Amino acid sequence: MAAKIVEMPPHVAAQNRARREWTALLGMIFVLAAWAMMFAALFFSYAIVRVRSNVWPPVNAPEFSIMLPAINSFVIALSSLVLHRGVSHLRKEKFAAFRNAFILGSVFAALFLGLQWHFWSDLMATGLTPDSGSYASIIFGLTWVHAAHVLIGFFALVYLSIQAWRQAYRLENSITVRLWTMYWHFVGIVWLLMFVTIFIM
Amino acid sequence: MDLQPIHHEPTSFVKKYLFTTDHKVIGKQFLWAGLLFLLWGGLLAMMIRWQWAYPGEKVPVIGDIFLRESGGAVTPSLYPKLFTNHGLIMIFWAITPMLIGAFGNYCIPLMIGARDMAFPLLNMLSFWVFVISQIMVGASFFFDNGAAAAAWISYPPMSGNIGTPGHGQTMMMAAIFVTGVATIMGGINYVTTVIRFRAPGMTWMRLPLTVWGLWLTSILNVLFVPVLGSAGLLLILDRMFGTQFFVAGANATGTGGDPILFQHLFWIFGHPEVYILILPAWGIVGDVISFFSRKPAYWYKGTVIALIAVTVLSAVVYGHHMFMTGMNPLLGQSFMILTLVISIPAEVLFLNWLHTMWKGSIRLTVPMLFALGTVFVFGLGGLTGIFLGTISTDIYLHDTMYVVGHFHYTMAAATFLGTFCAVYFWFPKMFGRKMNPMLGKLHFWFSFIFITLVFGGQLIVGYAGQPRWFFDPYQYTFLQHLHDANIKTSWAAFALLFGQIFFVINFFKSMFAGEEAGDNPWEVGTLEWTIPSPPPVHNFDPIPTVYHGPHEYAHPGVLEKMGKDWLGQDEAFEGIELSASTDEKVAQSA
Repeated sequence: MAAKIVEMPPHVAAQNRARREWTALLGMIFVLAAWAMMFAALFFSYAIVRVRSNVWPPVNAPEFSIMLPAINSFVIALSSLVLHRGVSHLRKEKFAAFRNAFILGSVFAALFLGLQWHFWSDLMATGLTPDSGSYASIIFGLTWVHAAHVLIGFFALVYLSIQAWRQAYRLENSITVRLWTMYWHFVGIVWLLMFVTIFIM
Repeated sequence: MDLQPIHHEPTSFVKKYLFTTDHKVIGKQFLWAGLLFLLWGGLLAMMIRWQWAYPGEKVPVIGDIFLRESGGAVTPSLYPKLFTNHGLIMIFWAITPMLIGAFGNYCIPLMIGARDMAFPLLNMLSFWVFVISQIMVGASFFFDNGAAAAAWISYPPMSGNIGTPGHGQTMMMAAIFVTGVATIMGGINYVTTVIRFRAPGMTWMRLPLTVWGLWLTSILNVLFVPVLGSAGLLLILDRMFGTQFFVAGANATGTGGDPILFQHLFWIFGHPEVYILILPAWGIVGDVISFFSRKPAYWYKGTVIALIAVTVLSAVVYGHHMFMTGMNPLLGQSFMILTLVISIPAEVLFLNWLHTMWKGSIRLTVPMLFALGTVFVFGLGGLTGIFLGTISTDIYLHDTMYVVGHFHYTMAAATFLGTFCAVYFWFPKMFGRKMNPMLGKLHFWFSFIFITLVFGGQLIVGYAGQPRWFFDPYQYTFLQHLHDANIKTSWAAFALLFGQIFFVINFFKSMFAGEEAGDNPWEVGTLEWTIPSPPPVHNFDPIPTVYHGPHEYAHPGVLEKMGKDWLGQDEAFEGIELSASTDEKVAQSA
């Protein structure tokens, strides 16, 4: 471009940033809408299997403790809360508190995955293996797909923590952090729905 | 930093033509990828048609190359692989990338006056993820037991481990999942771009109909492709990890799930998919008919409302694919009524197109011919669909060739002609050269006549009772009298393939040696024709201001003062307030 590069006045720069963030946020909303439909389809499958059965859980299904999923519900709710606090620290430019919150969030994510792994092994020990019918299919299939999304979130949180450690985030580029936090809240909400519909109802 | 910064033109080959974030190059990449798979899917179709005309006989040319083991003939084990892969390849890897991938990418930013997509990097990823899925489709042919063979609908138990053992079917389901991810990425981009990146003055009611069609399609893609993803995922879990979502059994004793569940998931996606494929074609046709009738699109607002109505209704009619699954008759009736209601907005669209042409000074250019062909074959597809949406007639016609004829008219013939309408129309903008109209017209008449005959032939034999998917229908005495009709239909199909040679010659010849097109060879007013052909990397410099709708033709005032019968969207015309629907004003002053 032949035109000389002119420094943009700060209020225009801020306005442009707000617009770009709104575009990114809108994109994220559609991403989550797509993923919500994917999980809705899984819940729909569960509903069809469930309403077609007159006994649930099936008569010969082994008993198992829902202790671990219950603990996990707390873990993922707590992690969402911690990340939410972290983002508000970032907004207030308290970078150390923000970094610590995301490190703690990553630890919670890892804890969730570890407990899930433990839960699956326990289930298999009681004799409820993935190939033992529709009941097991629902429990394993849905939690597997969910855990895969937690895994993606875990990698993202670790990445964000490392970047936060290197002080890469300021208010200007906080949108990355905020959108991943949104994703994490989404994954958490899906887990709570799964916990209530599969393990309690 | 600017909202839409001007990027420098990349200099290295890799950045310019391979891993590019330029929406125009990505659009062309999708076009090439789609054309390649269109050829592949077409050849598979020819092998099916050969089998129905001359069952068990040696397939000419293709048989010598690919079917040496069986002496060149289609075998019973190969046959289901042919129609399965024909259907899936055509839908997911030919029509989707061409109509939505290529023209969505190419046209949306140019038509709304943007410099690129909202998320250029995501756009690039979308294409390369799509390429991975294409490679997976290719790879699925090389496993033991061969490629997928459970029909395009992939119903269990056919698509389970017992129906189709081997990794070919699993690979195909995974490929569908991966291409679904690519489609969603593209969809998110299109939806956001249209909402956020419209040029100043480009209000919703000034958008070209093409953009409306693509935008609504993208919304359906974002919302319903994930449902197919879930279905594919659960099927893969069933096949690989022993879960029993789709294995028939008694839930109460925990022995199995429900194969019908897959049909629910598949059609919750599958019915919107029909409109995902046709909405962009409808949008393009709506624009092109107005452009070449040299008249404003009749009742633009009504067309937009009808497109939206179809989009919404498409989400709530999926049950009409499952009338024969033991569905509650009350539920079936609800689905039937909702299905038939779609014909009302569809009717609005057709009447608007006809009204647009009424008393226009029609220019029968190649894109216009293809647009009219699209309208005609979709009309046939829509009318034959009424009998499938009605339960009482569907009971007889279900799973016959009639269904095949019907959905090919809508999903294949209409989208095929619509895609070529777009190719001929935007070719000058894409490559800066005109296509040869003579060869184009030959291509059109071959395509139009024979595509109508092929699927018409299928409707007739289906009505006479020939079921779909039969390897050799003439083993049954009650179908033997249909052999002649099938032979004629097959020869129509071969003629259809022959007609595509004109396109291939025209396409490559025009790309290198066609006449220079100039900025605006069609004399139309949408924004992409206000910039050079092919456009520079950053498209607009500066970003244009839009003053009125996309179809400002034959305005007497403009004709008087400017000496032309059209007005660019970025041209202000003093003294006359123009809007998207100038019909009445034109009628009054004429």
